[in-house]
Amino acid sequence: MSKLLRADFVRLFKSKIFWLAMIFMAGLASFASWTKWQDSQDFPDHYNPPDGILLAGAGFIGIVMAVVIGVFIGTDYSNGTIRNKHVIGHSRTAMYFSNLIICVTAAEMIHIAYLTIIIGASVLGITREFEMSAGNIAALLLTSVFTVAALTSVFVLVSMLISSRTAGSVTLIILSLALIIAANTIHYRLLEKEYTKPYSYTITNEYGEEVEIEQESVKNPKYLMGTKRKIYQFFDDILPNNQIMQMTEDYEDDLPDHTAYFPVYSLVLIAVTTGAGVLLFRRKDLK
Amino acid sequence: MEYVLKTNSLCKHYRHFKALNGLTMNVPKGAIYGFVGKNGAGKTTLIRLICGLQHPTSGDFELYGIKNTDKTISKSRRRMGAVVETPSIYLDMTAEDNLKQQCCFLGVPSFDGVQDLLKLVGLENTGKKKAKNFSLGMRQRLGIAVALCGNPDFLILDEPINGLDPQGIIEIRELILKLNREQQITVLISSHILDELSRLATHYGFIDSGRIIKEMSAEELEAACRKCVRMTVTDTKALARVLNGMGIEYNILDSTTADVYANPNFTKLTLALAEENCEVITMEERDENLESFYVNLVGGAEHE
Repeated sequence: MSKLLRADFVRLFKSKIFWLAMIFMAGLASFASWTKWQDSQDFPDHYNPPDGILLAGAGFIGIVMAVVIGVFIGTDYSNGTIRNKHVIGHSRTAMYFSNLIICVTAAEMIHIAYLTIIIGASVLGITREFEMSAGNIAALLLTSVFTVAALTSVFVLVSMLISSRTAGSVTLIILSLALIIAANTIHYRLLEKEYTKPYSYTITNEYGEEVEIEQESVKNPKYLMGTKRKIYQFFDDILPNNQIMQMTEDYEDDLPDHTAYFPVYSLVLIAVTTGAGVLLFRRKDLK
Repeated sequence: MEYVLKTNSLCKHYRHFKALNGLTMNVPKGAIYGFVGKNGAGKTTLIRLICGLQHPTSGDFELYGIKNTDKTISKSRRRMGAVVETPSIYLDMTAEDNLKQQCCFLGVPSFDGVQDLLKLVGLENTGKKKAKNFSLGMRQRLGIAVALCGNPDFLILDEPINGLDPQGIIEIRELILKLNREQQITVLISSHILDELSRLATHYGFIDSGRIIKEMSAEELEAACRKCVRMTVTDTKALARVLNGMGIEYNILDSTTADVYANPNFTKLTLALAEENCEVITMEERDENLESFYVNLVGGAEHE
């Protein structure tokens, strides 16, 4: 497999789409840091740390990697070069793992490019200091590395099973958007409160007197309970985009903090998608 | 005889369609094996199975004596190069980079042989031109060069001259002959262009409806192909009467043309035709070629 890795890394580093993705994410990080710097210039007395933008880029990495992986693996199919690898004796398992390693490395490099600029801007004093401790930042970054790897492994699975570059790329982009929509839907549904907050309002009655009406809290019909809540919670913990949302947003909510388990969940997702991918790719007819 | 490839009752079914239906063939070492069959006969399916791109539904094959079910089959595949349908090349790379990339896949420690390979296929002057800007013939030659990267001693070419111009066809033909004669590479070549194949092949396998209907050497084919004289006359009915009278075998093609087998005394034949008021317009000696042999063979197989 080392031969495959060597050759595919050469191809990755020659890939324009990979470097464009790096430049895009670096540009995104620079823009986010610049807005933070602008805020600190406009409101010098207001403490505005860059914590919120630290992992914001991870939210975009799905779409970016959908394009990179779609083109990288799709090109192997469209040019017929995937056949070459097999004809000269590389096993399908080795081919799958090689592509997985290459794509995960590419995703992590793009992710790190974003993080380096965000953290670098803070260290250089362009943006403010992080509110989080260095330890928390390190833990969050390590967790996000696992999350990005899990997201990439899902994309590699899809891309390795679709023989058409166009169909593969379109499917990946749709999938990346679907994951973002699913993350929002699932996460905000879990954030629904069990009861609405009590509130009061004043009306003027028929005699011209002002009367205060008190509205008691009522049960929220959107609040999830029982098995349904457990299912939503499961997906909120295991889906990569949901993990990113949980790591990025700082809600004062009643949701349990499962962040510490995210690396384990990500590893489980990588194992499941890779196992299924290898199994299906070994049976796939290559044309 | 030593065989590079032996297949045994290979079957490949796609739901109810039988792409290969018990195909058995043998490719001798050092041969240029012409694999002849019409569209959909199963040529490419067989090549895909040999290359491991697809799995047989039943049956098996041996590559250098190693069965396809053996785990070491991938090692024997390293002795093989293939161009299946379209050449497998990176279109956004130069010819040189494509070969270097293939060397990496193969784990070849140095790129020393790359220039020699480019020279062999006549692409040494392509410089920084990317493969996407190559002509079809150049791409085909690059595909063959890529397949030759690991110094294989068995080369599989699927329709290598499809869509090429006459110059391109000559170049590919000369390249294949050169590889076979100078480097003793065994070649399995499938083609529709039978005339071109007949200039190359030392052995033939005729495939129809997923099975080999005839396998023979070029010498056997030559012996089987009957010589004839194609005659153009004013009245083939009169010609038929005369030939029947002389006991000579013939085949009427249309109202003015017929193929006459054996070597009759043409003076006697012409005089006899004159008596029947039939004039001889042209006479031409013909060998039955691969094309007509194939048509007869497939036609025969279809009516079995």
